[in-house]
Amino acid sequence: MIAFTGNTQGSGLRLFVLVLLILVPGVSTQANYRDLVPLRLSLAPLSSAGAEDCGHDPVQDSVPATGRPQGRPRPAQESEHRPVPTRTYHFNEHRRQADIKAYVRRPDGSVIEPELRLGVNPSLSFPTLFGDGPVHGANNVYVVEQGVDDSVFVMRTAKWITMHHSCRWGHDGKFDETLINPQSLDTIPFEIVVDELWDTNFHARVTSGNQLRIRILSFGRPVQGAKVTLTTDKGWSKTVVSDKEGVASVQLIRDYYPPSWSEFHRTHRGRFLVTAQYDADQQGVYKGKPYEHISYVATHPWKYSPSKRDYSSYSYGLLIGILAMTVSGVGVYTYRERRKRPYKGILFDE
Amino acid sequence: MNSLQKAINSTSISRFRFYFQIAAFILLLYGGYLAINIGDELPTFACVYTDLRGGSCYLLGFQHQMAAPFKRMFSGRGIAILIGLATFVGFFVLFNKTWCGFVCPIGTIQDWITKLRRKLGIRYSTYSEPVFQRLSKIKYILLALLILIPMAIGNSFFGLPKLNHDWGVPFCMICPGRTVLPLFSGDFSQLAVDFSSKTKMIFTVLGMAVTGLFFAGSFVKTRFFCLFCPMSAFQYIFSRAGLIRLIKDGEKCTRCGNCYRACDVGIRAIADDVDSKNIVKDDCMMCFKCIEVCPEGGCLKAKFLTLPLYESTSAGFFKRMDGKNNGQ
Repeated sequence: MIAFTGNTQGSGLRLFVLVLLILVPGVSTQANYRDLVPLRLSLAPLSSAGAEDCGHDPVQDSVPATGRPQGRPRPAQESEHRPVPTRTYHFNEHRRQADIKAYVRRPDGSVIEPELRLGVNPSLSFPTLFGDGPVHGANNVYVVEQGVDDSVFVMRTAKWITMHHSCRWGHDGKFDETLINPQSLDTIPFEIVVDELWDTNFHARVTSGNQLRIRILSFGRPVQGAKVTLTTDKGWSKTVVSDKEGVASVQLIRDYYPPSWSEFHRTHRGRFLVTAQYDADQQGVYKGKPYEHISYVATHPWKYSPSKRDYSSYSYGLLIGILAMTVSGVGVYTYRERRKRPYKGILFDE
Repeated sequence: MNSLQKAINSTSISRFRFYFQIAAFILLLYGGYLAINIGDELPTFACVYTDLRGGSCYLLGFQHQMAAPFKRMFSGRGIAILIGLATFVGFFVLFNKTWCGFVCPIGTIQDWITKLRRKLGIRYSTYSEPVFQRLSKIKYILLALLILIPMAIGNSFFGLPKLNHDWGVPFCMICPGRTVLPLFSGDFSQLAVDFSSKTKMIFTVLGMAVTGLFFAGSFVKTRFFCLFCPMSAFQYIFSRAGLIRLIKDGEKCTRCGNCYRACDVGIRAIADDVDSKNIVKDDCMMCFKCIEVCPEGGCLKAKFLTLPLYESTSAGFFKRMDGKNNGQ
C-alpha cells in the first residue's frame, strides 16, 4: 500500500503521477540506465518488458500441416509475399525525457519519417507505394531513442525489416546487389545488419543451422567489441563479441521439435532477436545534460524456418531416380533382346 | 527465288538448330547473370527452380493462378490471369512450336542424349502407330490435371474438402525440368525427396521416378518426353494462330516417307496427310528436319506469315545427302 504524506498539493501530484504510470505503461521512468530494456519493434503491441501481448506461444500456434487451427488466436505474422498499403509496427517503450525519432529506409535509398504515436502502446505507421518499381524490396524501419540518464547517454535503436514484395511484380530485383543484400543507414547511431536474410526472390531464407553473419555499425562504421546476443523465441541465446570489422558470427540452433512428425510443418516460422550492446567511455553534453559514458543498445528481429535437411533426403531421391532409370533401361534392353530373331537366309541353288 | 533463299534452302537446318539450341540454353539458364529476363510467361521450360534463369516457364505461374477461388478468379485477379495468358499466347504466336524445337532446354538435353546414343552406336526405338496414338493423349490428361488440381485448392468440388497448398504446382513437381535444369547451375537441391508431408513426399518421389525415366527414355527414343509434354498440348490450342507455319503441298508429295523417318517425335501424319496445308500437329516441335530430308522441291515449307524461311528443294536435299555421305 502506498502512503501519501506531506501537503495536499504534493499528494495530488503524486496521485497524478501514479495514475499516469498506470495509464501509460509504454512510458519508462527508469532512473538507472542499466534497468532499461532494449527497444524492440514488433507487429503486435509489446509489454514494456518486450514480450508480445498475443497471449499465446507463437511456436505452438503455428499452422500445422493438416490445416489451420480453427477459432484460436494466431500470432501476428508478416508475409513477404503480400504487400499492404500501410505498415504499422509497435515498440515496447520509450523514455519520457529522451528524444525519439523513427526512420524508414526504402529500397531505393530514400528515407522517410513514419508517423509516430507515443504513449500507450507506442507505434509507428508509414505508407508503402503499390506496385513494382524502385520501392520494391526491403524497407528498414528504425526507432532511435537517445537521452541522458544517470550521467549516461543512452542510445537505443530498434530495427525491423519489412519486405515490400509481391511475386506478381516479378523478381527483377534479383539482379540488383543493393536490393538482395541488407542495407544500412549512415545516420543511425547504432545498427545491426544481418547478412543473407532473404534470397534473391525476396523470400526469407534463414533456416536452423545457418551461420549468421552479423555486422555492428555506428553511423555506418564498424564497431569492435560490441556484445551481440542472439535469442530465439524458445529462449535459447548465445552471446559473441564483434571483431575489428564489426562482424560477429552465430550459428542458429535447431529448436523446432514438434511432438510428432505429422505435426511438423516445413514453413514453420520461429523468431529470433539479435541484440547488440556497446559501452563507450566518452564524455560530453547532450541538450544541456552532461554525461560520462555512452551506452548503445540495438535490436533486430527476424524469422527462421526448419532446415531443409530436417525433412528431405538426397539419398532416397537419387535411389529412386537411379532405380527408375535402371528398371526402364533393363526393360527396354530385355524387350529388344526378346524381339531379336536369328538371321534366316535363304540360299537358292541355281 | 533469289540466291540468298537458295543458299538457305541448301543449308542444314539441323546444324543451325544445334547451335541455336546451345545459345537458347545458355540464355534461358544463365541469362540472369547478364541481368536478362525475357519474361515470366514463356511457352517453354525455362524452369523457375533455376535461380539465375533468363526467363520463366508459364506453367508454374499458370498453376499458381488456377489455385485462386472462383470468386477471386472472376474479379480483379481475373485480369492478371488474362494478362498472363495473353502474354503467353503472344510469345507463342510469334514463333509457334519452334519454341519446342529450337528453344526448349529440356528438348535440347534430349537431343544431346540422342547424340550420345548415336556416338555409342546404340540403335533407337520407335513406337508403333497405335501405341503412339495412345501415348500422345497423356499430355492432354496432364494438362487437364495441372488446371484442375490447383483449382481444387481454392475451391471445393462436389462438397469434397479443399486440397492443401502442397498440391499447388502438381506438374512442376513431376517435371524433369525442375530436377534436371537446376543441375546446370550447380543446384542439386531438387533431387531430394521431401518428407515434410505425404503430398510432398509422393510428388517428389514421382518427380525423381520421372527423372529416371526421362534419362533412360531419352537415351533410346528421340524426344521421348515431348510426347507427354502438357506445354505442347497447351500450345497446340493456339497453334493455328502461329505466325510461323509448316506448310505442305500434298500434290508435290510422293509419300516417300523420308519426313516420317526423320521426325524425332514420330508423327506419321507428316507423310500420310496429303490434304492438309498446315501440317503442324500437336506433337510437332517444328524442328524442320522433315523439310531438310524432303527431296521434292516446294513440297514442305516453313513460312513466317508470307515470308519463306526454309523450303524443301531437290538441290538442297542432294547437297545435304552428299555432305552426309562424305562424312561432313
